[in-house]
Amino acid sequence: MANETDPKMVEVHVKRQEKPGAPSQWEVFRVKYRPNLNVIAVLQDLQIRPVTVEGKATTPPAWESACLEEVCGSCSMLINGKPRQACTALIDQLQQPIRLEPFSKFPVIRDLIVDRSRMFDHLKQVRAWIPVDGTYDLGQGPRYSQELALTRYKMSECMTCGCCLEACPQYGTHSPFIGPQAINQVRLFNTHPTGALNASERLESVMGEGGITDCGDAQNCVKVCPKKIPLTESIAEVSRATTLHAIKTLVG
Amino acid sequence: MAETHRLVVVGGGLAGLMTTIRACEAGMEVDLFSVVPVKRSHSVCAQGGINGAVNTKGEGDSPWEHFDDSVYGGDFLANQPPVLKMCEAAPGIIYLMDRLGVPFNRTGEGLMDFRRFGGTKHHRTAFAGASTGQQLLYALDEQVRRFEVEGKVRKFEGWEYLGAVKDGEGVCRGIVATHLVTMEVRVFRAGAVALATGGPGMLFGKSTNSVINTGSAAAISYLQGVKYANGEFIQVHPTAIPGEDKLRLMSESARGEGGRVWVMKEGKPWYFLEEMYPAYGNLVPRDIATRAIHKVVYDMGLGIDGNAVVYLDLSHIPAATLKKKLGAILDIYEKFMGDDPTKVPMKVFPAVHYSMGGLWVDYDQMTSTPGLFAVGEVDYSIHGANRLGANSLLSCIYAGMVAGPAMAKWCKGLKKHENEVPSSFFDGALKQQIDLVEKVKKMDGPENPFQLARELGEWMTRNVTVTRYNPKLQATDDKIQELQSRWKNCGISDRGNWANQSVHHTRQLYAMMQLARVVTLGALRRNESRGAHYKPDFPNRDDANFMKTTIAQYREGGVFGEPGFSYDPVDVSLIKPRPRKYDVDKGGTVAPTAH
Amino acid sequence: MPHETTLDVTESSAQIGASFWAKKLHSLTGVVPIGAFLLEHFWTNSYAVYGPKAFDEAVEKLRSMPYVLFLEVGMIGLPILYHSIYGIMIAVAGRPNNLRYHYARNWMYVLQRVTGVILLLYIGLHVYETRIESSIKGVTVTFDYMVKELSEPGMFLFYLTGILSAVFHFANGLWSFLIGWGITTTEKSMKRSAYVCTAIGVGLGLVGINALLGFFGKAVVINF
Repeated sequence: MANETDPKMVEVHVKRQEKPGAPSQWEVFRVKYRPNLNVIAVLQDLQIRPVTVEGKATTPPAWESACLEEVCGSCSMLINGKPRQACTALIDQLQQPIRLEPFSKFPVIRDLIVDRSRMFDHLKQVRAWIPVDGTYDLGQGPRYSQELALTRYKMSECMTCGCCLEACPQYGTHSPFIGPQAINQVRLFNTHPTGALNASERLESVMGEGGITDCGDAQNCVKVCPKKIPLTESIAEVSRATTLHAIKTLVG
Repeated sequence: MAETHRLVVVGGGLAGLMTTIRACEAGMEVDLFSVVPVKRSHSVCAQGGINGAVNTKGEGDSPWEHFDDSVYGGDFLANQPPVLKMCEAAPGIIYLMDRLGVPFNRTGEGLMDFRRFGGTKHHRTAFAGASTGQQLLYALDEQVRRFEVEGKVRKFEGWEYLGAVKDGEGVCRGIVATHLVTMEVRVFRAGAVALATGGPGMLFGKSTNSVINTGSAAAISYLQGVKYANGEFIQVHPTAIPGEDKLRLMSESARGEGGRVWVMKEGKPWYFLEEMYPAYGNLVPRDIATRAIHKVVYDMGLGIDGNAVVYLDLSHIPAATLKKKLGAILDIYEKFMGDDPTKVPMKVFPAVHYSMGGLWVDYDQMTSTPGLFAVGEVDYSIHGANRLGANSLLSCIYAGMVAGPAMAKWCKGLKKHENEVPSSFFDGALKQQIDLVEKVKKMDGPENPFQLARELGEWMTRNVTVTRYNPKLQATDDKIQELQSRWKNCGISDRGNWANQSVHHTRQLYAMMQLARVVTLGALRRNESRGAHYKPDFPNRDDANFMKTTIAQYREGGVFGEPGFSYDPVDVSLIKPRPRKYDVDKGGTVAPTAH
Repeated sequence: MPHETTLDVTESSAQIGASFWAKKLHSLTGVVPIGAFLLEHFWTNSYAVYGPKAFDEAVEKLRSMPYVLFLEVGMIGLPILYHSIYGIMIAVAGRPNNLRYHYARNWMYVLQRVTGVILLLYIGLHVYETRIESSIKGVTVTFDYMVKELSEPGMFLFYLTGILSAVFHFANGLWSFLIGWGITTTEKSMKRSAYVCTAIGVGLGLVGINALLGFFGKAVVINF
């Protein structure tokens, strides 16, 4: 049993839920402190020794992870109430006890794992791709400036982690709102010289129910984005483009 | 009209996605399997770039030069014809990725920019910010999503490969897979199957690989009789940021900008690279730096605070200079370590990075099992004994471009459509896998499977990476066998039948240990030093005895079976092998005039 | 669970949905005519600072405009009705999370909705009192009438809340409008417009409060 007053322990509270629809409850664990621990390493310790502070043997908490370098978007969860990636959540920078919860805007699958498939459906809805004629050798791509490349790179760093959606008061299972991540993709592809050829198709994909106009300008998305993607600028740019497109269809 | 063939592609990284795209373009339909949403595949981790000799800098670069660099860098262990083809395809591949919208860095003229990378003297590497792999993966992911919308691709994300289904003639006719959440086990029929499941980094516990890179799909194939080639060739990157959970790459450019490597010795900083290699100092090639660090830490016990780390020090360089030149990578260090590298030295250590070895494939990417293909890091074909930086993204995409059409062609030659194969073959395979999973679920012993994996990783990292000694390799193989026996006594604390990660892990671990033996024994038997494989007791390359592809095949024996080894000659018909050294110019070869 | 696509994305929808126009109309009506009317209304009420005569004259002048009923119903009543109903729909569709995310913009988000609901109640009562009730009783709304109304402390507070809510809702709504119509698209321009909108809000708030004080002869009179 861990000594409760031992400062060299990390206390972590994990919200457990066995399966969809099952009741959830908190379990409290302590693991040995080491320098440079992150939330993933703490969870890995719990895999080896899934025993609560009360000494009760339990199952290892389930969570999603892959790259652990904050480029894959897998290990999203609420850490001390904030949506972020568990791999960059350093124990030294977190207030203890550390609370780990699954995202609240997506259906829980188990423990810290949620079903984010809706995000990928939204990528389909906004046609987030360049419609090339084929992958055979057709020579060089279009020329464009380094400035545009940098702008697009920033937008293209979106790893579909869902933090922006978790923090958005307009997004959730209750709402058809497509959210910042997909709107950002509209801008990403509409700013590419080839992608611009079917810009209106992408614009119209966010001009219906749950589209761009459902944004409530709370701007939490941009605050919590782990990649610092200028999501609110993307929303505003797409707002501009959809407005102009709407006016054009009115008078054109 | 003949019914359309359905292909199975397992793995949604660059190689799997390109295979899928090319197969769709060849008129096939594809079932795409991945343990994670394909957008989260390990390809995202590649930072540096992708090679292609487009010669936009007027340096006289050419695909032949790229080819020469690659086989030279690979220490003449790769069969040369596919390497040449890849290098010839490379400029077209880069242009294609640009057309797909990858935000490559540009020149003032709006063209793609290229930078220099290790092992070459040419600006040949196209890059997109500090996450080229991520950007390339996204571009292919987007195209596959388009095919998905068009109904040509069905994605099975969250499914894991359990094995191939073979018909009476030993031809691969489908797969068995399990859903990681529902735990359902199912068979899927296919005209041909491609494995694009990446490398086996998790054999080493912590590496630069993603935690999903267990190598278990390759290991399962090996257990099903598929040939595994050159398993002992594991690339180690000299400078990674050690973490409790994983090792994260620290770019070579940190040393390029003046970073110094040191440890404390007799109370004073010891700049051991500068002392050992006065000519190159901290900028010795990767393998040399890696070996020196290992020696200082493991043989001399001089790691910082007794840990397996050394200092990579930039703090003597003005912060403003560092921010300008190395901003992005220093941010990564600070993000994960909480320290500012402009003020305190970074702690780094070599880390397992890439497996040159993998499933043996022919020039159509087909494994030794007919109808079963392998693409990307899981195949052995391109990199020989050592991979050049920025060649991995290229080889993954290239492999997919070859495999897609090859699989389509293979299907056309089939006498029976996959749907006409008697279901008995599938039922048998299904039952076998369900039994295995059920057996694992019931395990009730004292051993913790996660602990076993940790031990495996520690042993493999210590003895089967940078510097290899035969007694230690033998001891490691003994240890693996001990772990295998202990595995039988695992206990599963989670008895649930829903998203049971303990069961999945325990199942994977069995296959991983088998593959670990292939790597270890392959290294034990190769008594020479070549590329990433270095034995101080056999310090030279031995072309007479070992310019050969190691082939491991599973056979019965012992408690869990064992690898049997054979050696294939290497096709060096295009460039004659010459000694590989980086202290002098590598010299060049002249392309035949036909090129 | 095996992933199943729930969206039909195989065909390009290729049209602009009714909800797009509805929201755009909501946003537009907030500025024109409602926002414009707000400015006009504050302008007229500001005559109160000059005392009863000036105020009554200003009101009478408005009342004697041609097509006044049409203007009142068509240009003010209906837009406010639409803006309110649609606004309530927006408000109930949101799930405020201010206790978790304490960002300033997030507070604006929830305040915009709260002030919207306050305004619905306030405008309802205000219109009833000054337009409907008075018409039924055949009373003309004058300076004195308003003084009588506002002398009740509860009513004064109610008016004060209403005025400040209207000002906030307008100023913050204007900031949102600029984004929604793609006029401010960069973080910089959004910040700049936030300063401008804050200035408008503070200015209008002072004007509103001053007019309110005018009914008690306590307004600050500035003549330039």
